[in-house]
Amino acid sequence: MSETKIQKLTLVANDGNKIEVDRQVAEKSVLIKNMLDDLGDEQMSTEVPIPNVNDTVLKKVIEWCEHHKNDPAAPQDDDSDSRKKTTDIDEWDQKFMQVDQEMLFEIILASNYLDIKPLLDVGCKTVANMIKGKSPEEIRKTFNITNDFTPEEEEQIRRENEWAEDR
Amino acid sequence: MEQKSEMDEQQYKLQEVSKKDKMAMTLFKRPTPTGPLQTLPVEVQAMLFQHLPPATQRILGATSKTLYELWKKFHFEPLIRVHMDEVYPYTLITTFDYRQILKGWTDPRLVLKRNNEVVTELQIEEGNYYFECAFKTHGKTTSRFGNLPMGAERPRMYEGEIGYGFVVIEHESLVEEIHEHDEEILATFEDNYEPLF
Repeated sequence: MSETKIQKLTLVANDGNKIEVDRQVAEKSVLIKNMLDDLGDEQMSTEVPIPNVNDTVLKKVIEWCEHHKNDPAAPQDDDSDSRKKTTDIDEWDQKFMQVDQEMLFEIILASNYLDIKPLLDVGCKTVANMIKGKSPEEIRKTFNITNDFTPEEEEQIRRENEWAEDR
Repeated sequence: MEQKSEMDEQQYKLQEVSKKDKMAMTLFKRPTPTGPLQTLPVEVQAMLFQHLPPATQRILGATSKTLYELWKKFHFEPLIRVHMDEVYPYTLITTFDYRQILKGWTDPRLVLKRNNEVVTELQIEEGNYYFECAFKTHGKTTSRFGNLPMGAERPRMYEGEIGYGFVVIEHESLVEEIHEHDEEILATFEDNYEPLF
């Protein structure tokens, strides 16, 4: 008997909405791919719950996966010593990431949960570009970061970041 | 009358001391992190740091306790490390405050010493380095260059760094862009100076 691979999957967002996707698209998520490999096609013919991601964000993530479904798999961990080039964001990805800050962070969280490394990279690069060129106070303002340093810690940071002649 | 005012003064001092003691004894209650960046999983925050050049990593580390601890654990070094692109960004829009911070870090001061002699100011201009007071330089040619189309020839890059005082400036350029003269200066420098760090 020949085994036939299922070609469509139904993902269920945390608000109960169902989205049907091609297997190839869904497998951009290492979480889903491993699930398919571990459980086998028979078990996966039913719906796949994605409990940490809501419908809007899941649709957005699927949109990205659809666009990148034919991309070759990225080499594993070639980044051990090199700093990643933040400006290297594909034009389509740049447009894709032109969303409000809340959505941007939701996409980052979803891609981390679903284990979609290239999407997580794009999200991190986008945030990194928003950080570059700003002072600490301006970064706090941009991302609503609470300054939670004690006065002693602030003093220590000041000392670490100042030019000293005889350190 | 005089005695009374002396007593008043002592009383006042006592009150002041106890006020300071009370303040010192008040426990600092660290505010709960609220922003989206602060509440990201730590592995994502760590990944974010990897996408930043060194001076920006230091700046981000100075925004909150959690981010500071992450920076301190993975990126801290006593020397202030700056990438050339952070000083002269081509496309990035920078704020006045940011430029002031970077200026403060990369300003060489005039009191650097080499062989116990005060040497001239280090000048860094776009593409030109004057090594008179640099303490360290080091460079290597590499072919590492990300995101190239399949089959494209990888350009050879020259990656180097110069140090002066407590600052290390990283720079890189295409090998083709390095002039013979620059290589001569670099070779002389590398032959004559011991790395200090």
